[in-house]
Amino acid sequence: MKYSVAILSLCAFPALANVQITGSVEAKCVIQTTKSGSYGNPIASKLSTTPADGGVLPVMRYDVSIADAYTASITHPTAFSSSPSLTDTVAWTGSTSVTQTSVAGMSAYEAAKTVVGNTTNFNLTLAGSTWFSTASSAVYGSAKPLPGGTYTAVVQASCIAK
Amino acid sequence: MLLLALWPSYSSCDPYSYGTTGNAASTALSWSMSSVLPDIPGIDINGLLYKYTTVKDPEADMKVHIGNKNVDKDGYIFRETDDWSGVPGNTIVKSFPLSNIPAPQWGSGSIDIEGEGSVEDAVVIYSFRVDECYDEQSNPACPGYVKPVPVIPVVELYDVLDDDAAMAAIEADEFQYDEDGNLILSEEEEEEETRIEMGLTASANALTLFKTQGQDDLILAINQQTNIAMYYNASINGGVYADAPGLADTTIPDNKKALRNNLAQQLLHEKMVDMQYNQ
Repeated sequence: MKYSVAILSLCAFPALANVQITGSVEAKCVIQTTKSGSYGNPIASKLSTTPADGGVLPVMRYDVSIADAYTASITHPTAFSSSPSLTDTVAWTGSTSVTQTSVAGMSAYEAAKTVVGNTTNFNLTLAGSTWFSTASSAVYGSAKPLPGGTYTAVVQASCIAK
Repeated sequence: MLLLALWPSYSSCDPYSYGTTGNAASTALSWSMSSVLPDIPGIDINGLLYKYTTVKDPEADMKVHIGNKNVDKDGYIFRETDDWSGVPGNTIVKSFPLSNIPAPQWGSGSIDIEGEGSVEDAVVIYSFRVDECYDEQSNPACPGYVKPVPVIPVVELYDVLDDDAAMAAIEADEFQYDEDGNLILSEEEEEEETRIEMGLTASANALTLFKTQGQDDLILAINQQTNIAMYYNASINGGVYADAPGLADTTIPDNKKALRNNLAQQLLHEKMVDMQYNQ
């Protein structure tokens, strides 16, 4: 039965051909992690990426090949992605800044950045590479000592087309 | 799999090696390439990376020029300008691929500041390529390598036939040769040869006998074997040695027997003397 249906179908319709059109788009904005951060523990209740506190600032590089086409959006963490069980609140602070550029004019990004909540936005008006670093600190509620263990948090970096 | 099989052969054929310099701006904002690049021939510069931090007023005008002068002609073989006018200071990083420009064409390098501001923590690094076969004789694997041939010294051969003096001396005397080509000497010459041999033998013996130095050494070696320590080690016990008992003063009578004997001797002596004179 199935075979007869198939034959009828071939007779009823004209010949068809599907011509494929392919294209590739190279990424015009690439984000690379230059350096992973780490938290220092200057006091029992605090974790901080600040070098003065024994931490390491994470560094991200944005490579943009088209000028004035993208916005760099970087969000510092507001929660641990993994940690020992915490029974109290954690107060989070953070900031993101331009640390290196491949074009002198990119240093103006820092003055022109906008901060919305935990997210910092940079208008990438020039083509080239820009390095951003994010500072993050977490203070356990009421200055209680943080439980021993490994703490992990994530900085979210994205490149948004205008 | 195929790539892995081909890779070693490709690598062995590549006559280039690659490297990077240290920080050319580590001590000052100007530098000479001879102090940066290794002192070997066949170097081409194929890249440059620089990084520095500007300290400036955001409102101030400032330009930073990074470059290397051209050795052969005026101008720069590499020149880059960063315009920091109207923007705050920051750290800048730039890298440039270059088309294998021979190192001898690179003059001194510098970071020049135009306007207000300063540069800190400057880093300038060159990447280079070394042609291992720049001198094709440096490696037998290089194309054009010619196996070196040792220099053979020219020796002027002495041909006695070309020596007029020698030929004249030969022709002056008449020599006779036997069937084997040996020189036949006259009896007088043979005798002279024998005397010479004897003289040489005698002189050799004389030299052996008068090797006084050698004899002295031999005697010295023998003396060293003589043990005379026992004489040095002999000792005499201390103490008082009393006088031996002497004869008391008295009259010693004549020995009559001796007197008679002496007389007999005297008589005999006189008799013998008389006999000499036939008396």
